[in-house]
Amino acid sequence: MKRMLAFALRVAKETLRDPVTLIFGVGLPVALLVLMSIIQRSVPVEIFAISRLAPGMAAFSLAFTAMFAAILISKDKSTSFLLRVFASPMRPWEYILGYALPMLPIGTMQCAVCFAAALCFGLPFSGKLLLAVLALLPAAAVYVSFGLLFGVLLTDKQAAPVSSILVQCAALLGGIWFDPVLIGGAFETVCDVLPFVHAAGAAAAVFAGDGAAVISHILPLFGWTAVLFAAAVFLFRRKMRAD
Amino acid sequence: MNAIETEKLTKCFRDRRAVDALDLTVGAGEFFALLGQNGAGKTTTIRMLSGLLAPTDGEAFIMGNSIHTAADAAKACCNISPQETAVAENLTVKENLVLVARLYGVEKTAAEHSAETLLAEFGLEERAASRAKTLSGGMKRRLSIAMALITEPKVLFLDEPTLGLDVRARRELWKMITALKGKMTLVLTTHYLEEAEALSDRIGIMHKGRLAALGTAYELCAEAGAETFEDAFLYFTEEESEETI
Repeated sequence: MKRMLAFALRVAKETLRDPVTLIFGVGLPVALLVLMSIIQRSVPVEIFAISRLAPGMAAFSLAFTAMFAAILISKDKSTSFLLRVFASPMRPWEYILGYALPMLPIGTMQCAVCFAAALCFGLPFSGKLLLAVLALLPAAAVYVSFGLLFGVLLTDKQAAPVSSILVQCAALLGGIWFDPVLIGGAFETVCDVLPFVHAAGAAAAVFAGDGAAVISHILPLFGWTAVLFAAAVFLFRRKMRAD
Repeated sequence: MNAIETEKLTKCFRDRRAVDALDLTVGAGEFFALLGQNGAGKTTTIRMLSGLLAPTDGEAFIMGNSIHTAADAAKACCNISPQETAVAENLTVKENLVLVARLYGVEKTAAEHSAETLLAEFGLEERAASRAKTLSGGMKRRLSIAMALITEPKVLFLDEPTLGLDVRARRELWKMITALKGKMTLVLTTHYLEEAEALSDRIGIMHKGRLAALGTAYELCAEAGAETFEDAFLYFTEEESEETI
């Protein structure tokens, strides 16, 4: 456990000391939230109402945790730092959790900043804010699992562009800019199967006070986390044996 | 006790035998150099010995611990400084050292104390608070070796430690590596023949996964009937190439 915590601390330090974390992980979602809120004041559109936009942007910001994890792990591979870790007495569960766990508080912090910015644009201050942050944790786990998977599969040159595609998917298929129900058909079905729409949906359902909807959005996220995390663990172990 | 013993150690990658039935013994406290051309099997050998790669066949013992049946004990008594610098770029120099010690289960206070000792020994004291990414290539190599040393290994594998360094940085690193002689068993892989000749007690020349020659630089020159060590190296590696052709 001590070894895992030491490694997790290193992951947190390296991530938070990278300016990309602040620019993309916090700056971009907040900037989009501010921009859309200003547009909303001039041209009111229901989907950009702050009670929908804020959970959407918070969920969107979490997608960047996948990028942070993927870039760090792929860089650790290319610099052979991971080889040093493999040569140590650390167990696979220790370094996999060491990579994953720090991303959860980082993601929570990103969500908190998004909601704090939304307060300035009329989001009411209430206990629902805390519940919404908690409802976004399963989504954070999904994105962190994506990050682990990308990190172990991709090179350091591939990790950033592929993670960017995931971030775009989170934006376009996550119900942030438009509601997939409006398009319907196969598009809506695909969105429903993928985790992105459920990430924002869980937090939006908290603000709507719909407990059943929160559960229905969170359950698929648990499923995605289980599958992605298991795949990442399997590939990490295989990578360890291959090195 | 021998620090390293291998018995028919073999590694195959699909059809290719990267290491072919290697029998090797390295004594405790010895400075052993493993030479060979690219793809000769040097790095694969030390990756197997340091527990990073499972052998296809054969056995190896590190300080008497089998890499199969006592893998954890074997791992605990060795460490590796990889070909690449393998440092955490956004951590400070001191944080890198403490981190590696902590990964091996050393308590924080003891890790910090060891880090300070190594910072002084490797001339990195002034840069202790600098991020690793700001170091020069030579300093990164020094840090990389210090990171391997902080766990106080009985066997240290140095994989191409001076690769890509300029002459001055290489000579400085040589001095530091030479200072380790006798304190632990050192296994060095390198492309620089003069490095192996100057630093090591014995040299093994690998060629196509096999140990083509073994001895001191003087013995190898005598065996090859060569005036220089470079000629001896070419003799042991070219001779076999011609035979296989």
